[in-house]
Amino acid sequence: MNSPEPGKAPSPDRDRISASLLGPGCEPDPRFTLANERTFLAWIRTALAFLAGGIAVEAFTGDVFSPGLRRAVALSLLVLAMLVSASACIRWLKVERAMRVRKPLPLPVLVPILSLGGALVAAGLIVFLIYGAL
Amino acid sequence: MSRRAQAPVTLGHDDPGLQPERTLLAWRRTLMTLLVVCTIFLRWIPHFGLIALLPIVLALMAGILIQIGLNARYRKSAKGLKQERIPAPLREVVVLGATVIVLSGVGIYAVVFG
Repeated sequence: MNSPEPGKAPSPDRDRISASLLGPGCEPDPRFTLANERTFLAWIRTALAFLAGGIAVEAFTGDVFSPGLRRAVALSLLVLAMLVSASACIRWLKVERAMRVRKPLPLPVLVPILSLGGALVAAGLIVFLIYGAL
Repeated sequence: MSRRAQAPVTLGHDDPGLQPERTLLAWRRTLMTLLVVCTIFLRWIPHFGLIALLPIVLALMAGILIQIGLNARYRKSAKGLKQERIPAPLREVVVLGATVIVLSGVGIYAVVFG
């Protein structure tokens, strides 16, 4: 462990698992820790929204979509929920580790993937609405 | 207890950015969303049977666990801001993240095999 600055020593209540996961360095500015926590929670809420969407599509859209399409939409939303929540945890840990050693923060890989996925799904739904209504 | 007797824990802090409150409210919002997801899962019971109960029970347990820890977390944040040091909330992050991952997994399982 690096020699910490005075007043910024690693907290004494850290156990071995968190010490190995969080890596070397010292506790960052508490405001940054809290900001990272809130960003993680915002991603988790995004994942929960996808999850709720997936469950709702499976439960409520029996009259709208054919069974195959309904299953595909529900499944893709649920997979997306899993992906977003897993990456939220990994990103939280990466940011925390970077802040502890004062390195630049990692780029959010999920943002371009989510935007692209959202655009594709929207395009698919437009096609479905145009041709499904005919 | 002895530490608390020496220096009484106060909820006050001098952070003009109100970071502990914002973080606490972010947790509350997230827990409320989790509760909403639970209620939508209820709709699955007629179709998928008891497997739909599993995520509800799981999410409620995780929600209660986190809710119990929240007050302590808020106190830690307010205190940590004064001391310029807050321990990383590793346990809470892992519990919440794992809950959402398992919920999605149960959902995927039910849609594919249900």
